[in-house]
Amino acid sequence: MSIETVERAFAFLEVHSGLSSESELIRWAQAGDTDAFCSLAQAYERRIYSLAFHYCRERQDAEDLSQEVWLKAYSALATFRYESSFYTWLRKITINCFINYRRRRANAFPWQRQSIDPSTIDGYAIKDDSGSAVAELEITLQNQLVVEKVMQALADVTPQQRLVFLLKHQEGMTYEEISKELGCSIGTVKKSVSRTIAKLRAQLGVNDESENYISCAATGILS
Amino acid sequence: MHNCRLTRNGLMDLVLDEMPSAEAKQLLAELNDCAACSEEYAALRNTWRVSGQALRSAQPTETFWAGYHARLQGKLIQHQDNEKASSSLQPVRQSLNLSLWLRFWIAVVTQTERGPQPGSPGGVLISLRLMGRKLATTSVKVPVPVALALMLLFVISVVVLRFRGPVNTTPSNQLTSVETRMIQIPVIQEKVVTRVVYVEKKTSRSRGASNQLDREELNAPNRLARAGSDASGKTAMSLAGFKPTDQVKLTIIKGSYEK
Repeated sequence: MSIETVERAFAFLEVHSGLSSESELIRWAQAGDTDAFCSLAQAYERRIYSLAFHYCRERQDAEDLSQEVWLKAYSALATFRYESSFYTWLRKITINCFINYRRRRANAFPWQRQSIDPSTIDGYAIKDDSGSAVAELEITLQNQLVVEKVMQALADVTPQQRLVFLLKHQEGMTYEEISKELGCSIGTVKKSVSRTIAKLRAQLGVNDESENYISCAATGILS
Repeated sequence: MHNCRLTRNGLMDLVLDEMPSAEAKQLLAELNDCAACSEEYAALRNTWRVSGQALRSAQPTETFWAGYHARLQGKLIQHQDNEKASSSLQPVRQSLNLSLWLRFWIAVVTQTERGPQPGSPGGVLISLRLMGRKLATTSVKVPVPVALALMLLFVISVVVLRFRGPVNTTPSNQLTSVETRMIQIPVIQEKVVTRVVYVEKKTSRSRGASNQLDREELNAPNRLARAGSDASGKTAMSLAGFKPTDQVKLTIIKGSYEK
């Protein structure tokens, strides 16, 4: 037996032991074990929070929305029948919560375009790989600027378009899956994505002829 | 033949990996031949990558997650407690109450058979019954005048209550009669108002035949007034003091005569 075969066997066992532990956690959580559900939540909470934050663009709303998703998942856990993966089931609940949040906001407040306050991304780690201190600071500032522009572009589109873009970009869903989840046509999904990309392109000024700070920062991220 | 418009329509699908692999390969080969389409594809791809990296990089610090998880755990526990309190407590209470009542009545029945025992719930009930019996059967010495007065009071109250009862019911039995009456209401008669309109003679003479209709309209109330005055017997206006002019001035108005 070669080393490669042994390694493959270990990898297979690792994957399947991971799956069995998740399904065990789900079973315990369905039996009423809160700790098991919290362990499940720990595996996916960052992803759900990230989606919620980019959708709401406010930290407090994102936390409330993501926690609402987990509470609903906890209440509905008995209905999970292992027909799909746990995260796919959780994502459906997430999308429904986002849609309800959008309806609540639309009923409570008239739709207003909100400019992104840079202080909302305070305390967020901007990752950079540069070695020197001066270059590090420059790149951090550049990245922060790019992030602000991206968030501003997302704020300029409608909530539906933003959700479609996030599901396509962050979740890697296909047009068909997104249209099925949101109950709209594939054409609507394509339009939403292309409009959001057009807004992003306008904000970032990627590959523009005129050199500006944003385009340099954007190309800095690319290089 | 390369068509830039068709090529650009497919660029978004190519960037987002929504195109079948064969089509994607063909499109990429076409892009090599057209600089403009190639630039457009590069711009879209870069926008997609930059926005993805920006979204990924905007993450909270590690210290945030510990607090977030603790808050989530607290909310889950609170949610669980609320669910338990609302759903499971009521049937338990009901069953508890039912069992308690059943036990109590069983004890009462068994105690009545055996006899009262101090401290038991059945014993308490039986002692209450005995007290009630004693109260009903004990005799109290009352003086004769007091007893007579009490009896008289009792009789009077019975009589009064008896005779009051039917008095209240009689008014509801009476039928209401309906009377019809003719009432004369004075009607306000319309008042006749006569309006006298005075028109200058000079303006009426200078107009000519074309203004005949206008004059008739203007003089309509005058006719009424004249009719009224004629009817009343007054004389027409006199020509006293009227002097005809020496010079006659003719003014010819174009169109006022027929050829």
